[in-house]
Amino acid sequence: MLLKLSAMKKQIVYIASAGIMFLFFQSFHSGTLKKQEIPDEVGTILKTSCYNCHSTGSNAEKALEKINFDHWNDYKLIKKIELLGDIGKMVEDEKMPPEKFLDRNPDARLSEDQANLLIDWTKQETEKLMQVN
Amino acid sequence: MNKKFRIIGLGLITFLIVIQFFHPEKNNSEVDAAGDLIQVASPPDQIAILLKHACYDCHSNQTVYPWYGRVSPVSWFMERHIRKGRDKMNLSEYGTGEKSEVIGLLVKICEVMDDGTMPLKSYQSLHKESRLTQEERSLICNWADNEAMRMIRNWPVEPEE
Repeated sequence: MLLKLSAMKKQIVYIASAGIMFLFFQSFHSGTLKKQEIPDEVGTILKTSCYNCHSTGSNAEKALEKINFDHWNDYKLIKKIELLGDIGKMVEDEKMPPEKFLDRNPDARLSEDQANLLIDWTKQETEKLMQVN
Repeated sequence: MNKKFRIIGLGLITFLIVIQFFHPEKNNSEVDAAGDLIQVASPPDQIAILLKHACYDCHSNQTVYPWYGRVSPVSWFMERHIRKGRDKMNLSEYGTGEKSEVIGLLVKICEVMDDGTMPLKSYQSLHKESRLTQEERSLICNWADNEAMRMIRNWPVEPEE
């Protein structure tokens, strides 16, 4: 009887700890997913205006060295914050996409709305990352 | 022929003397306790000294000029150089930036320490106190990274200015 009870207790402990682990991983999982989420609109802008040079397969070595959007999730938290700040500044100062590139790829030119959307996104995303303690 | 040389030489000397009266303004304002990286982030003394020796001449409002830095035309070249450095990163304005900007700045400090792009080779050749060992580079890099993480951890608990 005593043995049985302690076995039951053990079982309860196992189940409870499994439950806690499950919840823990669940929250961890949804947390990382949330961080990686890029709104569709922003994703489309990035693809048409930035991916040409800033994604795997591009030959623009210098551009890739600065930022490779395909590696976004591999960047450290503080690196992401730095890059988001740089993206915002570059777009705001109209330094990116570069004029030379736009001459050949006029479709990549950002409209004012698109530029603002991107800038707002970098700010929101930064804010979000700063909350991750 | 001899006379020609003398005239050219004399002209050159006069020119060099005259340009000594034209100096760019010194990059040497008072330390702003609310802006200066060393004041605001108070890194360990060793790191503060390394930063002063390796970075502050071009990346702050407090350049320590060598004697030849007050001689034209070297002073003009130097002034342009300093302006460019400060535009990229000014450690005297560290405390005045937004927190995310400061994090970006710290990340950049670590990166240029790591990949060796800073201090510039030309600067190092003239300023031997700016030459950093690998250990010193890692020391600065690690400090900057940790400071960036600390800022995130304290966000938004620390009061915003």
